Amino acid sequence: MAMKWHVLDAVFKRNFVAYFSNPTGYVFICVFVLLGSLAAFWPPEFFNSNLANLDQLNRYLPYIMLVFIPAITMSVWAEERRQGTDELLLTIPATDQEVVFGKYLAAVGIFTVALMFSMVCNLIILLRWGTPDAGLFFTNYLGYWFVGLAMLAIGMVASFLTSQPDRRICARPAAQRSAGGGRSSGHRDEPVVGGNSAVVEHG
Amino acid sequence: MIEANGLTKYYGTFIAVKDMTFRVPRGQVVAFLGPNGAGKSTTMKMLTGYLAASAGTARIAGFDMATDRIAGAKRLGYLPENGPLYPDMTPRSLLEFFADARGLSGNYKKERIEAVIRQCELGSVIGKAIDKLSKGYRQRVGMAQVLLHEPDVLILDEPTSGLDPNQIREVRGNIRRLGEKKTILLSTHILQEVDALADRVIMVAEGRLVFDGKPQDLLAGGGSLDDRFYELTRGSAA
Repeated sequence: MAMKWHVLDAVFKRNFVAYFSNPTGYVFICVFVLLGSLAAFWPPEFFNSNLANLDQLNRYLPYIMLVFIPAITMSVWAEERRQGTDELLLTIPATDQEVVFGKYLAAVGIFTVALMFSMVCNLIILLRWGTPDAGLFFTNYLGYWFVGLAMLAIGMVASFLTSQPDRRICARPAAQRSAGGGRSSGHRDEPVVGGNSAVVEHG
Repeated sequence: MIEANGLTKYYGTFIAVKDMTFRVPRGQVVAFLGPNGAGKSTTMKMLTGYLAASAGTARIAGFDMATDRIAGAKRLGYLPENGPLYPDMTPRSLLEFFADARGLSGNYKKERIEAVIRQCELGSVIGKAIDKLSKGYRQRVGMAQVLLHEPDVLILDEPTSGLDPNQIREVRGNIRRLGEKKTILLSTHILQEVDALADRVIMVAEGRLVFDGKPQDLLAGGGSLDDRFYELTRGSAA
């Protein structure tokens, strides 16, 4: 299905800029870079092996990302729901896929910026102490990036679930969900991040 | 232009809206009345395509919002309850975001943004963060977002809620002017708004339509608007 790029672009910019308009975003990136460097060079194995590589970081990075990725994704839907802006976002002439993909791209952008900072820092340190294998180094980071992309997707689903007090959308039969072919036209069976209790109260 | 045909919404076994049927023709301003929990917002959310109906159809400008939501959404301006906005944005950046998301571009985009800034008198606060604005200005920003793409149909969920009397007066004036050209469905708790704005009243209670007619028909049996409201909606959740 062809996506409308103006929607992706607008949603991407909005979410990307919003993350960096908040000091917490910078703090998390600093913590990520610091932890990445500590994990790479603090363990004694780094000096014992006498190799200018990221073997130690390979071991610890998944655990660091387990904290850092939710810091990016937890607000993606939950914040929209809390502010009520999901109603605006999901009633513009755009499909669910366009809005979701735009938000995903923004999360990927934020993660990529953080990873780039980490890469530059670790490269400087490695160059200071040895001669790292450029191919191995950059392939390592490419791998981290791919792991991050997968974790971001999972994190966005988690954000959506945590912002939806009424979980019947998960339990509803698939046949009912696809009834009427509504998805393809951008119509949703339930609000993507809507809490039904609020709807009833304010009815 | 706005059409609800047997709209029904269940939450589990709870019936939020039951068999809601009405039609708002072009150029009519309709007040959607009812106590809290009567199903006004749920009906509006189904009309906008935000919520899917359990049964029935919602049409905006002739487009079925279940199968052709995008075409309907292009012609619809929707102001949700409490006028939610992104608090970290400025009115200008918010308007630019919605203009971009709606596919407005070039000179038309610039013209429309400047036009709604003028129309909603946002000039003095255009560069301030939205979370620093008063409730009245936030409501104006919400209205500017609604009018940005020149929609034919407006659905406004309690547009005067929480505003002071002067701000209510301004919003009413704005709606009255818009009502000359556009189709408007607005929900409200304020009964005086019916007299001030509406060509027609639709009243709901416990998810069901209990009155559909002209404001003067509502008063035909005698008594005040308050009395008739109580009579038609009593027994429903307060």
